Amino acid sequence: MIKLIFKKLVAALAIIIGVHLVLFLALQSPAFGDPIARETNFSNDRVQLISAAQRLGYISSSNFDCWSFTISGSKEQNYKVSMQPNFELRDQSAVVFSVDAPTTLGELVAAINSNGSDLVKVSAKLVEDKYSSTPCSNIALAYLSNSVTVKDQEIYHAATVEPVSTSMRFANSFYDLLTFDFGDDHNSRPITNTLWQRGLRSLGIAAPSFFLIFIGAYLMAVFAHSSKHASRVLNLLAIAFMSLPALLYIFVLRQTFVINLEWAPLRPYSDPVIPLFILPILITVFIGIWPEYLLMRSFIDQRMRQQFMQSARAQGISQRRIWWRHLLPNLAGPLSQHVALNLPFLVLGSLLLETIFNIPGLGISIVDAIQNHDSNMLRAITFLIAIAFLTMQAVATMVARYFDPRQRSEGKL
Amino acid sequence: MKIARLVIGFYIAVAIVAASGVIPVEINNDFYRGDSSVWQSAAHGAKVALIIGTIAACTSLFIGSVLGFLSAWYGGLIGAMILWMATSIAAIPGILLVLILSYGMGGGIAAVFFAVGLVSWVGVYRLVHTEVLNLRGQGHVEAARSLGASMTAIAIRHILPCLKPILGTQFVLHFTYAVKAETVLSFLGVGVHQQASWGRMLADAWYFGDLQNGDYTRIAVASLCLAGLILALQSRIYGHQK
Repeated sequence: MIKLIFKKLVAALAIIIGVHLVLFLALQSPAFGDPIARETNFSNDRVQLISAAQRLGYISSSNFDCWSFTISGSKEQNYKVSMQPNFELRDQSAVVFSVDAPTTLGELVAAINSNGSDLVKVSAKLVEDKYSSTPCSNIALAYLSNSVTVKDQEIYHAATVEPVSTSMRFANSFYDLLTFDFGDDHNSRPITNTLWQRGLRSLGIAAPSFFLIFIGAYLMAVFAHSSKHASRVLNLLAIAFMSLPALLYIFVLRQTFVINLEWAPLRPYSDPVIPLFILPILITVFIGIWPEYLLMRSFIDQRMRQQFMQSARAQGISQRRIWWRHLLPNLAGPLSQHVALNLPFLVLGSLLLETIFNIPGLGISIVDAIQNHDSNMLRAITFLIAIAFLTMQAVATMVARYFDPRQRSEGKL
Repeated sequence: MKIARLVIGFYIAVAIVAASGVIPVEINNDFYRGDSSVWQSAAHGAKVALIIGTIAACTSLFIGSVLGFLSAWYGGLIGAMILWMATSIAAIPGILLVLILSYGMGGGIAAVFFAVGLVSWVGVYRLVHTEVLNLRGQGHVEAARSLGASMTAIAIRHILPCLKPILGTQFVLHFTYAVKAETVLSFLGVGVHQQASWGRMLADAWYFGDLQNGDYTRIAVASLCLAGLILALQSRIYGHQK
């Protein structure tokens, strides 16, 4: 048993690593484009770029004093420094000094010190030698990509940072996720607090909706099985309703019940809001009940053909007793697995509903995160849902073992 | 069946006409502001839906079939690695992963179909894996192996034809999923940009307050176009199954 649990834990850890790899590739690596540029919405603002690079783990720490340079010249005016990718010093009319695309800071400092200009004298030095091999790429370029105005005789401290290797970034962010240290969101608020508050609200819609869908679908499937006409009508309705987009139902039902009939309140979210939850729950049930009905129907059809059901009918047991005492316990195993595996995903089912009804749950956090280019929030929500999925998978296996003796005899969890 | 075929043919014809540029559509920077008629943008929506659905379904079918075949054929470490990839992807809700990938790729039509394709191969992989495990022990495959046929030849000549019904059904299911995902992604702002699509029509109807103004045309046309295509495709599947 302990060996089995250990094997299951190793398998779960492997899946968590896999989930992290997927998220890392999608959000933190350049596999689908520059993540720092995406995080800043392609802005050139150096403060934003540095902050985004830090959030994404590209840099370990910013060091704003690792090198400096001094300008002195005959002209009494401001100079502008830029680095895109050449290091350039320019007065109002033209470039007075430039170094072609230096690759390391040491190379840049050496080039500045060895070359001069007739108009200005520029000298540079590194604060510490260890920065000499720091590349003038990536974040150093990003930091200097905006022109910076420098006055005559002024010492300018430029920034560079120590880049973090890809493998270290992967390991660091995995450690952060495992310790549930999700960092801060784009508003510098701790993500963990936000998720806790918003997750409960989403669960407030998802959990009742799911159980209503579950019970409603079972009753519909039982009803459909008992009458051919009902079965035809329900199947047709299911196919028709499933072919229309969920957005249509949300728009139309909201318009009808909130705007036209005024049965539900139209106002921004504030606690407590039970009336505000009722309509989203009913809409979720209406959208979700049809595929569940079809699934339940197929489960019931399979079970009804089995011998134990036929013998129950042959013994003259009433139809109602068959439905509740013979069929339902036999469906409990697969259905509990289905419920357990879909419950974490249902938290997301309210993605559109929360956006349209302005309920600040996890769904709206995802939309906000995308609109504000907040990869940390997306990573945290996805990771938490994956963990919930794995936990529920374990619970479902145990429930199925409880209801189905055949699984117990296999000696597997 | 005949009606379904006619409907699908009609959608393809409309998409071709829209792609040829005969039907003009005005697009402003971020939103389609209704400069063109609803029907014009619906025609362009058919083009976008067919492109997204076809490429996304083909991508997921290709990835799922290749990985399912390799995993069943070789088993061992390769099989375990592929299973690990599939389980890891399956642990993340599909629409959330599509959203993240589409956001990562910067949105747009290509991002939508690649994101859907990259996410939805897991179902195909599982089916193909099971089928190939059954097929590899069958007589015609054993005979081909004993005659020295290469793995690629066996896959293409002897196994792929047996997978056709499953892949056909999966194509329709993934096509439907991709077209529906486009509506959600477009509404959330990471879907199709700079083009009229059914998802954009629904999103614009919401953002420009069509319902508040009592104008249901844009929502109704986009929804019915989507439902028509999905119903026609599904009835093709049921026709084949019968």
